[in-house]
Amino acid sequence: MKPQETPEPRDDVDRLFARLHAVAPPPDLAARVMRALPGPAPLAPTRVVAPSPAPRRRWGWVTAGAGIILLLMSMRLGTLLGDSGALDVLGQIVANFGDFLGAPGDYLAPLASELPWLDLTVAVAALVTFWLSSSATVGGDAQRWAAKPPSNTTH
Amino acid sequence: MAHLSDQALLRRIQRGDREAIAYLIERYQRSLYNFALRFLGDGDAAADVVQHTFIQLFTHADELHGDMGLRPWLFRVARYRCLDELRRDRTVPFSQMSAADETDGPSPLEQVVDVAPLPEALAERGDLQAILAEAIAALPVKYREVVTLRYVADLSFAEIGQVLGLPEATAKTHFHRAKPLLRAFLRARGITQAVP
Repeated sequence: MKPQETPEPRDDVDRLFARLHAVAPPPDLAARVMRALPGPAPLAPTRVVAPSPAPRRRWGWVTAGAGIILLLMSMRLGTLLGDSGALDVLGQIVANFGDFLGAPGDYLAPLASELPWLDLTVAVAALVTFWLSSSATVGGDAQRWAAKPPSNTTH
Repeated sequence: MAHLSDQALLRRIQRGDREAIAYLIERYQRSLYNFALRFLGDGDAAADVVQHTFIQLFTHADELHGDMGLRPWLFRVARYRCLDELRRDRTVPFSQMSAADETDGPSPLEQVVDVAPLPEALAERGDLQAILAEAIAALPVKYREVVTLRYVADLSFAEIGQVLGLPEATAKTHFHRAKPLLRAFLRARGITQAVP
């Protein structure tokens, strides 16, 4: 911090040199200095700044869409599994788990025949999309945010 | 981290935090660069001075203590590097670089220059920036450094004294002895109209 001192009256030379413009240093000077520092390679410099809103918004929409599809498919799958008898098979597997371990084919074959595979595939795809897009929105962006160096300041 | 004080960032540097020095570079590179640029008149050399200064900060951070603020310390290192550059280029006689003895009194040059104020109105000229830079560059080194620290780096006289290793009053004396030289140079270059 600059020490306080009694201001002196400005004369003609002071006023003239107050007009002397500061010259911007070379844009790569900070990076050059960081590279020249001894020791291990510098970490990415370094301020966490707000990400550009466009990628976040795009991933947000994907996450929302996948979430809606996942919700709808979950409801539909519940209905289909109940109607097709697959839930009954699953209930029997749970209730007779020892038998299931002894002869899994006796249970899995009817289960496989009863499962609504197309709907299940769509639901799994929606789940994967939801997981990836939400990760990109939260975690993936955080990595990109960290790379921007501090902006110039004037003194 | 940008909001941290110089001292807080310095403590982080002393613990080996490279990120902290990035913030100090951003905070001081502009003023250091301009100081060296006006002192040396060479942009590449000025950039080298800035680089050297921050390397010195990083490697000697443990030696910095509370008796001198970080800002004067940085400019002191930059000033030494500038003097080294001038010696290397042999553009200035070595004897001219030594600190002035205050008992010597004004130099012969100071005794002959015109000390009258510039006319009320000083020109708004397109080449004003170049002329101001030339006026600084034309000063003897002992005056150039104090004028540059004052006008370019905007240091207080107390800080300038710390940078130069001089009492504050002596720094102020150097500055005021430089002014007639600047005034005479500007007058000779035809600066004749007003500064509001």
